[in-house]
Amino acid sequence: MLERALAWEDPNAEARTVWLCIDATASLSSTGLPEALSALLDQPNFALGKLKVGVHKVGAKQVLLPPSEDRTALLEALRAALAQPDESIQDLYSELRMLCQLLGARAGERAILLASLENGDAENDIEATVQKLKATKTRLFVLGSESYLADSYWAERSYSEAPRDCELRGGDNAIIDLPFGWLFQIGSPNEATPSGFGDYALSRLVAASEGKLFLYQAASSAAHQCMTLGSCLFCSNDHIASKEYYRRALLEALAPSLAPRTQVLEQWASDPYAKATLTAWRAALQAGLVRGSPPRAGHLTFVDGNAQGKANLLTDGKPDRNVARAETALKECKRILSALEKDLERIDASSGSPRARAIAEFCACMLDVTQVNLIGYIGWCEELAPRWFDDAANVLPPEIRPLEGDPKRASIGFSTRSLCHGARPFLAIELPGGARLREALSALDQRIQRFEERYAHTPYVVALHRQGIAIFHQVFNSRLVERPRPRSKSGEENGPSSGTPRPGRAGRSSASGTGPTSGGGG
Amino acid sequence: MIRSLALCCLSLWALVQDPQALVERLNEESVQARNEAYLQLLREKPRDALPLIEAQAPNWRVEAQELALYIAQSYPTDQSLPCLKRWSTAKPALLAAGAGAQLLRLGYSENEQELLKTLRRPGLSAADWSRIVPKFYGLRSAELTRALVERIRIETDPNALRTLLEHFLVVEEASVQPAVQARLSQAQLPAEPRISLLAYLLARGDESRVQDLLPLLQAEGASALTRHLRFFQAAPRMPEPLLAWVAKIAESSASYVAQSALTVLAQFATAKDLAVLERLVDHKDITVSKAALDALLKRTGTVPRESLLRTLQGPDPARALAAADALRRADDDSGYARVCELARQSSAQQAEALRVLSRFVREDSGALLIEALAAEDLAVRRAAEQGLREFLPKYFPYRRFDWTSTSYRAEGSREQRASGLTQIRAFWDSARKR
Repeated sequence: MLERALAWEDPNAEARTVWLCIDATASLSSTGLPEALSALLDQPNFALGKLKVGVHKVGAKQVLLPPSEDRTALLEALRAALAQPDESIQDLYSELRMLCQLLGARAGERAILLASLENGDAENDIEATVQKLKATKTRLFVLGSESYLADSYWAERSYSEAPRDCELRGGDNAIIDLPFGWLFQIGSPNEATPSGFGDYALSRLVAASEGKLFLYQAASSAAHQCMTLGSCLFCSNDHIASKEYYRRALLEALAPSLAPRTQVLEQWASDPYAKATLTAWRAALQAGLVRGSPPRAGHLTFVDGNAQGKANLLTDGKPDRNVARAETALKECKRILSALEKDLERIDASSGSPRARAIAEFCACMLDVTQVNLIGYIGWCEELAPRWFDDAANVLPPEIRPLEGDPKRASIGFSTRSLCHGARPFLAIELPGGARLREALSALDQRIQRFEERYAHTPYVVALHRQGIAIFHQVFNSRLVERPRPRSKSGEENGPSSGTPRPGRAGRSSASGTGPTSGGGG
Repeated sequence: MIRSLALCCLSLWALVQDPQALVERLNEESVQARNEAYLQLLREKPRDALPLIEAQAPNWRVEAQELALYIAQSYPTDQSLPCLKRWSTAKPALLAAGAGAQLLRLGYSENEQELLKTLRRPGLSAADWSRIVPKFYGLRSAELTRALVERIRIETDPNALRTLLEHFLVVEEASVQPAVQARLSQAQLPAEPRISLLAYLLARGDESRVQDLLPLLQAEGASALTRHLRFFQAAPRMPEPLLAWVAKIAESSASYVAQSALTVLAQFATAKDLAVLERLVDHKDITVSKAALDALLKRTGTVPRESLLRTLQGPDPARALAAADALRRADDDSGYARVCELARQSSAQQAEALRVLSRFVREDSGALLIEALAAEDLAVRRAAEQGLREFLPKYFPYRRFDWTSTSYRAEGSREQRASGLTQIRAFWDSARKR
């Protein structure tokens, strides 16, 4: 990666200036960047002299080292930049424009190597940055981290504060084109599925400046886990999910567009597969089957309050009263799925993009999963929930009574069991819903098998595996008993700590992620 | 035989009746007696025992104080809190530090100063430190961290230093690396602590000292790998020369060490190391063979299906079970019939067959596990009991289970087992019908 950034494009060029732009985070500190640079500078092709390298730390008021041919100073500056990691959200894009400005005054070849594993998603005027790179003939090279597939993290947290002039977006694509926030799912696959590509914004800059993006993945970060929370029903955390290992050729066919965002949205809106997805997405949103809103020109994607409210109705109140609501939702889900299937049948495969097609088929799978979950929910409401508080329930050891407490204070909760092993194993265990559920599970299994045949070794199979079959239970509104806050004997009372500048993004560090080995991309 | 068993049961019953006698056994010279009393107290948690332990532990041998700490922590917080508070100022450093650390974990940060005072006590020996340091494992507190970072600079006991550094694998702290570098600059530092310090740097992603670490590991041999396994597993990358050394150890060491090496290879092996893993799949020791297969599956994401199917039909039941288990992990149930067959047969492999069987969440597995609860062989009954405890909540995700609600115990008397088995069969028959 360093070789590509430092290498001369034209061996006869008089000079080459490269800025190392370091976004120092804990995950970047463990990449061994100084050692790699030191080893590279030992090679004659990369001797400093006509080649000058400067170091800038993102967020610092002044550059650490202006372009220099002093090897010791360069390595010291790089180590100093990495020595004090800063986990707050940083605006990379204004810093890149500033470095372009500095490079503009220099003769010869110009390049920037941006090392940033965390902050590609805090966007600040991408197109202005593209113009600046082009105007100063600067190539941008990036050491970045793999983004999530159509990442909806910030869309789900639209209250989060971004640095000045920045918008928090992220994801491999310019828009969130994968429906997110499905009914009866814990978490969205959009926040858990490695895309095989870098952040859209950085990829766009790299493509426009004819540079290159390198994805960093810690060697130890490839462990597969069927469930993010809880344990898998069908293995002992030892599953070999061979279909989740990405293949480069398949990824390339499903690559997102790196055109400007407005163009991406236009392309998407005119794709027949995307149109079919959009129709189904809007209908599902209306029915409360999905809570994330579809992309719209000039708008950020967000969580739709009405859709969320409809979903919440199913987890409030008494289970027996919710059966009718769930039956209505199920009917609507069936109708939307059937309409989507008909739309997909009519499309000439060569007229749409492979990515839009994958997403449309994923959407059909998710509607099917939602149908199964609604049937399971109805079964639970009718067969199990009424008996859970029944004192006279006939329970034989080693089983114990499911619940003890006041049913009036209970609401409905759920957990999900991953589809990592497919839908078939769910047929072997005891679930409420009877023959209706078994029939729906068998149909879902068939659909998943067809989907896996086409999309194995791509992020779309991983996304489907990160969704699950819901298991319902009653939850009680707990009474919180607070421990009295200790008071200091002298000085000020220990107040609550002020919030961290960046909202917690558990499991999102590229150095500690648990996603599958993607096989690169970008 | 029956008489001696009866006497044993009688004496254990008497001990439950007399907590004082049971508590005193915690401080006996015999390790076995101490452990038996410890396990019984842990299991029964008699309410009267804790005040007795609290009063007597400060005068006990240090090994017994360790047990006392574990037992006190296992009681509900409202019962253990007064005891921990009193111990946090006790004379024995281990009790004071252990109780102080537990109080910090429970959120009583006002006890931190007392804990720091304990750590500053003059005359704390290296042996004291090696027992005290594990009590802080994973505990995050700024002042305690400062004290422990300082300890890195002076700790002489290699085990205590290693435990300290392991603590800082979990608790990330920027000032540790300078302290580690400062310690490494001491010319007279022996090999073992030097390995720990260098391994810590590797675990933090600093590969600049790998050329110092490798010769020390080579000189020290395979045991250095097992002692520093956590550091290797925490590393973000494994430099090629180190990986080659680990692969060599996997091929040339005894079973236990080879398994440690294979856990590292499972995490970092590259295409170059796959040949080693493939060779080790045929290792004569089944545990090494299984670990190699595991590593191979993790690194390649695929199973060598044809070879596993051959093993499945082969003459060695242990290997057939391992093959069936490996296939199951890749969602392939081809081995289920063979596992069922082996789980039915009374043989040396029956217990392992039941363990493998319990991971197949199917109705037949449940029925076979229940049948095996009646086996004559205790190891088979234990495997069936454990397997069933794991199987039932998976097969019935909407039901809650408490194994203590049945009278069945694999170690119990024939009558007790028979009555428990009747209950479990009744449950199974009624639940299966729904």
